[in-house]
Amino acid sequence: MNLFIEQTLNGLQLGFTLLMVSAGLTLIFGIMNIINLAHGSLFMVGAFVAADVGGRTGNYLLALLAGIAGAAVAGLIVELGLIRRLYHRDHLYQVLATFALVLIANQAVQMIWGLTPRSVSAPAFLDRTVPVLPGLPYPAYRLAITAVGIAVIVFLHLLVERTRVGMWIRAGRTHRELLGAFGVNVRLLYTLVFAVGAGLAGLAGVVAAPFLSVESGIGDHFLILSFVVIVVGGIGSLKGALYGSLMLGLADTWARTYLPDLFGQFVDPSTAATAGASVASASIYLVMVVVLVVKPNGLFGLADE
Amino acid sequence: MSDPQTATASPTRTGLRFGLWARGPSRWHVALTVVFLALLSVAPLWVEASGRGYLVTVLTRVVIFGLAAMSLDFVMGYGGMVSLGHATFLGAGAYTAGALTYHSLDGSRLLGIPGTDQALVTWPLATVVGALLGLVIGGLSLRTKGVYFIMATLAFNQMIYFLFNALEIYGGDDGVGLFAARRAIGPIDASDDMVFYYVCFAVLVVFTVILNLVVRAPFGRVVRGCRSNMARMAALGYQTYRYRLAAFALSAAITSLAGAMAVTESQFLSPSFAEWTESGELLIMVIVGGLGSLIGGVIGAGALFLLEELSIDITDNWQFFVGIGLLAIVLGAPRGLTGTLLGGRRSHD
Repeated sequence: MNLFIEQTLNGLQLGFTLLMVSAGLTLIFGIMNIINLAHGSLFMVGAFVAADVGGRTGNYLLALLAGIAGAAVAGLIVELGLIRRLYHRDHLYQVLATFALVLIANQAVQMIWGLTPRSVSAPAFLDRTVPVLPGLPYPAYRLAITAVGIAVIVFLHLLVERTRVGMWIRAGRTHRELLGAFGVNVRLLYTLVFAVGAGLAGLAGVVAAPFLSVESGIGDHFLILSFVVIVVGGIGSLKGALYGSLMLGLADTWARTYLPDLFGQFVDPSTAATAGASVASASIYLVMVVVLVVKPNGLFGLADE
Repeated sequence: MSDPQTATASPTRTGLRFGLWARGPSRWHVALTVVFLALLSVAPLWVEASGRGYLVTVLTRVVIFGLAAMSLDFVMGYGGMVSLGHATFLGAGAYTAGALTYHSLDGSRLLGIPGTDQALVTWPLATVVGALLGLVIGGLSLRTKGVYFIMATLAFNQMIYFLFNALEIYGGDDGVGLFAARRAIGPIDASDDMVFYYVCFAVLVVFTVILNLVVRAPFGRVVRGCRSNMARMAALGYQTYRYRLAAFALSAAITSLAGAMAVTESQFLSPSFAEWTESGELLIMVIVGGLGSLIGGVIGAGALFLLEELSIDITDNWQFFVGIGLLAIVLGAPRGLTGTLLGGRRSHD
């Protein structure tokens, strides 16, 4: 039972990290109808900037802020310099241009920070365990990530549903021209949404960095995972991003914990360990397959999109 | 996505459009195809005569990856399906051929079947595996449209990549060398790089002819029709899903064959064949060469490998410059080398 609670908390933490990446991606896609492969590179920029600043100052909060700001600024530059030219182009060219950015970014971080992987350590004040239940200590840092994730989704929900800017974002999805005719600066709005999405990707990069080795291409896997989230949850929907992220985070963590044991009941232990591990690594994609079969537009996607 | 302009076009205009497009890719494309294949047929002799024999293997890779890019162009340029997951099939072919070769080397069995390094067995088998995998992945991904399709193909790509990584028997993520294997194609001993080049070149010629015939055949016209206006094709009574799926599976089969050829060439099996960036690179080859021209894929592969070969001595960061060049092409010459060369009215934007 304790193992189950621990793994569920781990799954939630992975899910909320995914949410930070995919919420930005889905917001950008929902309003601007653009597919951005370089979103994973913004994750990477966040992690690298945090590793750099953290390494120099030893101050985690400073590293966190620098990582978010670095990714947001990178996003701003990318939107102004490139993405804006792609809004009216075919998705194929958006894929190509942003893939070009991935190649450039992956090399650029190597040119700036070298080939040696870097690391970010969890902040000292969270580097301990707290008892979530009597007799069940759990790392405070992982709980903190979950808390940050919850804060992010609450913030985004309030932003989109309760503020004037959010109203523009919702209107921009369906009535772009009309919104412009009402005097809203749609270009600026797009730029801001893009920068917010970039900042969130950077945030995800910083908080996930202590579990990873910070090297070129670390964001790519998270990018593809958030595509799975979007396929599962439905495009342009924050609710879809939330449920999709949590489902995948839990599916992945549970599968990794329990499948090898489960397989062990039928075949010998070493085969079970190998087979369990490979099926577990495929588990989130199996979730996607089920959703594609049952609801091709995603769980919360619009049917006519 | 339906194009409102064509959807409301007058019957006369529709007739005209059909008339133009029934001719298929222009005869300039055919001429360019013949010229480029002729160049490839003498290229290895030329590089050897000029004392740079080591380039023969580079040319072999151009032919093999060009074949894969050409089959990607078939689904993308003609079928309008932007697949960001074709490395899946490259990897599937490589692992089918590579696994059989591996088991023939150590004499063990794969699911009860003895291994073999005879390419006349491994290559066709890889093609069949690719077709089946293409049916499954295409069948699921084609339930979605547009951006979803791109994301789904990429996601399946990553899934297959992780599965290959988990295959400890073939070295996991390090891969495994198959250097002791023969390169036998039927009675031909292709251990000589020059002989192997011409075997691969012959395969490329065969599939260039086949794909060019397919896009002009009634089947190909339906597939192209689905790209232009899916709703209209459906209204005409075509089962668009089945046609597109068949096209996707055909492309997957050929890409898988290319994967098998690639592993026979490199004699090294590793998950890097199925890495998602490989899918992106195939996409680059198609666009650089020119979307919707078939031979463009091979030209693009040639351009990319040439750039790599030229810049590898100068810089370690050649991908950085590939990225810059790609941006320039997307923003400046979206029709690629072939389109810019032929100056036709084709535009896919």
